[in-house]
Amino acid sequence: MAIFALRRAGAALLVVAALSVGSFVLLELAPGDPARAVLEARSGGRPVPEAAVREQRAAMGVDAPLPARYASWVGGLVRGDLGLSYASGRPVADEIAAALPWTLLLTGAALVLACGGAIALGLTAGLTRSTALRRCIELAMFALGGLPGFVGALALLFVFSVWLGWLPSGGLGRPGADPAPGDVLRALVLPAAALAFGHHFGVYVRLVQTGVARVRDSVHVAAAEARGLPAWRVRTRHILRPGLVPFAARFGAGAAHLIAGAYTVELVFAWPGMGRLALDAARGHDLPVLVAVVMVTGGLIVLATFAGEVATARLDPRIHLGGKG
Amino acid sequence: MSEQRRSSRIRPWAAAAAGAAVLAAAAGCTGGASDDGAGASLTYALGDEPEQLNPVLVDEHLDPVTEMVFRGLTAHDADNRIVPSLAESWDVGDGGRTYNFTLRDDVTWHDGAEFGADDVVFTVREVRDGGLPTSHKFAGVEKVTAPDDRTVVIELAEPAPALLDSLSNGILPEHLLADKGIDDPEFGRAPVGTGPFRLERWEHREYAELRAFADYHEGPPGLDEVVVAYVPDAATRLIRLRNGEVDAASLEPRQAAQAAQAAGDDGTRLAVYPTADYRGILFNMADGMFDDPAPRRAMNHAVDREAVVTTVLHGYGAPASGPLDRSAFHTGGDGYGFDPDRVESIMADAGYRRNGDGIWTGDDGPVEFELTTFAEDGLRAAMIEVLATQLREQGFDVTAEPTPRDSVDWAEVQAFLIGWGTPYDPDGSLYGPFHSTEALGKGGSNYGSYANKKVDGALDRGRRTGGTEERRDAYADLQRELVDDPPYVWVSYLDAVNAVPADLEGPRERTLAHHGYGFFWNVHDWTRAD
Repeated sequence: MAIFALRRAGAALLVVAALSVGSFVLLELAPGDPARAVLEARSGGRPVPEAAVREQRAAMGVDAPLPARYASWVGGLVRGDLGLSYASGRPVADEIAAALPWTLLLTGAALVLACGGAIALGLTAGLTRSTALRRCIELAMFALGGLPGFVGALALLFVFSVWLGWLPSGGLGRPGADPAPGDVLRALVLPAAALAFGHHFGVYVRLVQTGVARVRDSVHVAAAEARGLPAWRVRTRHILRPGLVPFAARFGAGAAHLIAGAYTVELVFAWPGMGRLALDAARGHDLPVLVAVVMVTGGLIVLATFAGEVATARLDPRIHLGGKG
Repeated sequence: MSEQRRSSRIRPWAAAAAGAAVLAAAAGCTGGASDDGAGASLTYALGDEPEQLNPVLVDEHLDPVTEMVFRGLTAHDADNRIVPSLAESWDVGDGGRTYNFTLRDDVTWHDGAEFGADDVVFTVREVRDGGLPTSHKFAGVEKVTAPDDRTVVIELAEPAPALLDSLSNGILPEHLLADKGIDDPEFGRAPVGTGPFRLERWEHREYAELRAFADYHEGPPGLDEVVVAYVPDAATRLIRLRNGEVDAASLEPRQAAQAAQAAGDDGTRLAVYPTADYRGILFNMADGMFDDPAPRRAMNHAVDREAVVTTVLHGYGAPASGPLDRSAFHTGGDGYGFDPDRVESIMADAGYRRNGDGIWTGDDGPVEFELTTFAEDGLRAAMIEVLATQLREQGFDVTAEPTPRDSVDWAEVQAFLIGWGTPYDPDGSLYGPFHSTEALGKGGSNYGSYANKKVDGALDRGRRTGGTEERRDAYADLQRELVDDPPYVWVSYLDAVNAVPADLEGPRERTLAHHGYGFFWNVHDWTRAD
């Protein structure tokens, strides 16, 4: 296990390093000029004179060649310094620290919802003797699979906020007031649901369903029932646990999808997380912020995948982490 | 791995119910609205959020929060005339080269420190020398001194009547910024000004909360609190307004048209104010294809501005005849109207004929070009589609092609739907776009490289002569010349539409700036009935 963790950490470092080079190069190749973007933001989008852009470039130090800028960025990173945002002039670490917890809260809530929902629906579909119920679930999941995430988010918004008026349309409670935990929870419902029940959800339900259905009629279940174990015990220990292996194996990647999906959902629901930070930074060519967002997101995805692998190994005794090869 | 799972009985349907229960519990846990009942408050939803709240960092784009926190030496009244603010009076001497300001003695900064002449000297000097977007405003200042704590003397190299206007920009506190510099990012996050509201807190990407400043020199404001909520999407702003999540909102034309139908029933009313923000088709004169002024004049008669205002702006705008329609220096003239007969006569007199496709054709071939604009700006993109269709109907082969902002190469652009205009001193929004020394190739903002000696002369006189009458003459000459040799097809001015609570009293109409900024100009007079 320790060897596995170490090897994974090494791989993660490589991934993150590759990510940083990749994002630097891609952002360098992208059209647009950070200095012009800063100035245009300050003039409300009106074009700014070339001479002013030249001065701003010099002031921001973006004229240095790419390798030099990358080297100085790595130097800063080693000292724990992510640099300063081009747009706000504040430390990038502060910007990330303000946005990351909200994204984690949203993704965490969605993860719980997606996990609970998939297990519940998958178990129902996998164990039920009613063909109609199973078909119903399958059809609903199929339909969900064809729905782009933002469409689902907008549909939720219109039904529960605009039409029924039960839940706020976005943000965190009433602007200006300190959001009470209840406000945050209320504000969390729609985005978390939109994120959890996006188009990946059908796949998870299906994974649980097939996993459970495959185990349901196997010999060890029949043996357990023959030994007279109570039905709940058979279902949790002998059906659910081995039945969840395909789902768990996929869930690490699924969590990564959720993190990526969170960025769109955040925009629809005006959630003050990494998605809006990333979009603002991309619009404003705020390179230091954008690179940091990419790195943090990449790090989270590496972590989620790792967690998924560990979970799979714990559910399936045939898998040994840290084996040879 | 043999830990027992002694969880409660799991049945498929029970598990499904548990999933639903999580949702229901979250939804049910409402937590009562936390109204501290402190007094009148206004929550206003706005699309753009600045990255810093510092008036010296923004040119012609003063967001409402910065506007409420800071005050300048001068201000503008409802007619956009200069009135005293932090300076109670001034006199101008030496043929318009020396300004003597007497400051108010009852002004304090939001942190309690006393405002004085040193703050003004500091601000003017640091802005002039700081290489900031606003530095050009004080470029002509030779000397700024404070003979005593209530007097500031500004000496100019040559007369600059726009100076009083520039001094309406916020003054910054020397005692907080002398060491850190005038563009300190931390100050931009937590600004300290002398305005009627002080910034209580700013949650980036969420809202800025402002509290009434009890020691404001014109008396305590009528509202206790103003919250500016940042909601980037215009449709979402309308939803939040209708849900009662905000009291007021800045609206775009489409949402304004929707809101207009409900206004009155839902406890809101619309405040529709004109702005000086215009849109016009810029021609790239460096291209050579627009050397002949006749097609440019004809195209000014070929666009149906009323139709653009009705269809694209949903009626929230007005036809434009030039860059100064909303300025005190506007000199009427019949301008341009939609007139197909004039198009025919101008083009025929200039020797153009229609070719087989009905396109005007001269010695250099047919008049055909691409009209582009920033693709991110939905209104502009819709506008160029309508304009291209209108121009094609009158025999100009125009193709509308919106371009993402980052891909716009000004040297390659043939025609572009651009926006300028200021409700304040005209120099700031005329000299850059139209003076030949400000051409694109020279690093200026004359993106069409328009060059006309008479226009240059008029702009120079407008910039440097002290007397109002001479300036009026200069800008009258300018407007005449812009009709004879048009750099743009002027299309329309935009209106600013804000939905406000029906019980809000005090907002007064004024010609607003770019993006409708300036709506909060008299916010200290606003009150709410309940």
